[in-house]
Amino acid sequence: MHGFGTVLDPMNLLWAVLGVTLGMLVGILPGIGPALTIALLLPITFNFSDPIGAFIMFAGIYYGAMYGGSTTSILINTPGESASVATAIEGHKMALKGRARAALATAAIGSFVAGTISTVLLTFVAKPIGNLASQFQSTDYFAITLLAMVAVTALVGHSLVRGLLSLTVGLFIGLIGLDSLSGAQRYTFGTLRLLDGVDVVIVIVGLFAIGETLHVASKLRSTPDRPAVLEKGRLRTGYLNKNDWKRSWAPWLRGTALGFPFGAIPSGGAEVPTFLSYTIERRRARKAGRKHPDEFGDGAIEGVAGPEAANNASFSGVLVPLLTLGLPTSATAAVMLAAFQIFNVQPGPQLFEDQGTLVWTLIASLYIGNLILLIMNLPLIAIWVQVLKVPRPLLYAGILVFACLGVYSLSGSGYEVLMALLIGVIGFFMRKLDFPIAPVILGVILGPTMEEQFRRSLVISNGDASVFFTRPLSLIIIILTVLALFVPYLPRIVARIRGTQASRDRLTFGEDD
Amino acid sequence: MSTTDEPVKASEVEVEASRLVRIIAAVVLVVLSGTFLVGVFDIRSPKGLDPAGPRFFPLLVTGAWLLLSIGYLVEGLRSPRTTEKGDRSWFEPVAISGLLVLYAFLVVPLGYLIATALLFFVAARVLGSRQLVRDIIVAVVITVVVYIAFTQFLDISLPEGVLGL
Repeated sequence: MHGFGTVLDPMNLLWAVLGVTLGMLVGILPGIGPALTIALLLPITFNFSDPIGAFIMFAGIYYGAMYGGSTTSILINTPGESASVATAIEGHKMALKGRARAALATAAIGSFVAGTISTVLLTFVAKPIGNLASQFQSTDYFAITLLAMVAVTALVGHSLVRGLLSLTVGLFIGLIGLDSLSGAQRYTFGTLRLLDGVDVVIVIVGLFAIGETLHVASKLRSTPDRPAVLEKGRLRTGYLNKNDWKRSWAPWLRGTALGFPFGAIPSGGAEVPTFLSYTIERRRARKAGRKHPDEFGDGAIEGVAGPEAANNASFSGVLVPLLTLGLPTSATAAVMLAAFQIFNVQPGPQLFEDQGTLVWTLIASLYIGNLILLIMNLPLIAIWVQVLKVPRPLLYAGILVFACLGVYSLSGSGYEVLMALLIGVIGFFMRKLDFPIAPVILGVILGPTMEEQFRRSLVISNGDASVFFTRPLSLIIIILTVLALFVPYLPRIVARIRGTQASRDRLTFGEDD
Repeated sequence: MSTTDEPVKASEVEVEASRLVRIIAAVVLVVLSGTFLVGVFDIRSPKGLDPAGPRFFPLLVTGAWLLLSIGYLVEGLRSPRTTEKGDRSWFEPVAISGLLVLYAFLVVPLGYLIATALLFFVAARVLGSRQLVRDIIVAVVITVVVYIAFTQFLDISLPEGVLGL
């Protein structure tokens, strides 16, 4: 547990503060998510000799973004993140009644409680799962990477065909370059530059930063210029009174209980647990309607406490498979995985043995990050909201500059910028045609690993393909993968069994997380 | 994520691009995947299509890509003709793209400071900003700050170009 010692090192604390600040800014501004921000900062962190600071910052960014998103949800009803949508429902109503501070406070404290509890859970759960994972053989690794890719693809976006297409394009990009196992050149088109393949950072920056900027550029004429401004009346009352505390603590716990496991499952992100939490809190309030007046629809504090806790807890949940198995369960997790790989830190069972200090420091930094978030944000609300006044053209011009900076610093030549632009243009069309972006990232990052494990399995078994199905663990995971393809259609299947009409044809989740 | 109570059919979700663009995109995907599929056989592989060799995975991936692209094409052909929504403009994205191409070529000869400041200023302009003086000031300030931060503090080298700084 000397991870804590490392974290309290002033330099690392600085990174945490920086991360949280950046995250808040990013979360407040709509259209820019933590995935994009981490991607933009990746090339900069290349030159850090010590990855710990970088990871602390990334974790801070993620937490900050979550909170920034809920701040705008509550204050001006424009969720900065898709996971903050649930918070906006009751939170904004509270703001309209002048109780914004209470809403923000319950969100902040709830996030802190959830974050702390779920980080503790992470600490306890990590080792056993790590031990389980160390028994994995290459067939299991193959199966599990396949599961991650398919599951996220199936649940993200509106169309399975388009999601799978995104995935295959990502896999293809991952193929480009020199094949490590045989030395054959693949799709290098005769140029030396492509021998190392397309750097994942270029893909991420191109798709997220440049693609988004191009997309915004094309919608200029039709989107309003400035978002709504904070009105004075919203911050009338003080923070939480006794009644608020009483009503909040249970939703905080319930939200945590929901968020943590859902974060660990491959899915779009934090949307499921937050909406689930909202629904559960609403039902509970209706049932208890006789004792306390049900304020849902009018600013019920439970509707903010629960979802916010769920939101925060799901991040620690995401870290469980990411750190123990190297399995990303959302787009942001995939970007963080890329960050790990860049620093030559390979998450998985080895991680806890080889890089114990790093991991525990990271986990300890989560505690600290949570705390910092709480301390920094509550008093400074009015200031944060000023951020929204940054004019959009300047904002995106800035993103462009940073994107180019990052990409350029990879190699020192404009060639990478051109490649990033090409990928950015692809990203632009993907957005126009409603293709989800997360699967591409997953394909690029996980594809090579998956192929390597596949071929290694075959080499070990001397070409016997049944090895994937005879090992029980692999078989189970493969079955899960196939099932994952059907999960989005669950509402329809269930409705058909019940004989009723499904209210929704297909489950879809956003991919911001 | 849709939370309304009206049924939302996945295939009816509004896609920004028109049906024509979708079909063109599908055709492009089919052509690309087909080309790459054929390209599998350009890969040097002593064991041919052996699953443990370098050709197998690309074969699977490009093959799946081709099949999915055909599926997407069919889906596009079957979708109803939608009315054109005319409020998307092509000028700005093309302009930004052209800007980035120029930047890629000019950043070394002109040097980071000048090229990036120009990039910021012109991009902001294209994206809608109309305040000339403010934009120039911000462009220069940001570029200089970034330049100093990176070359002095982070030890990353950025091209000096014309100014020789």
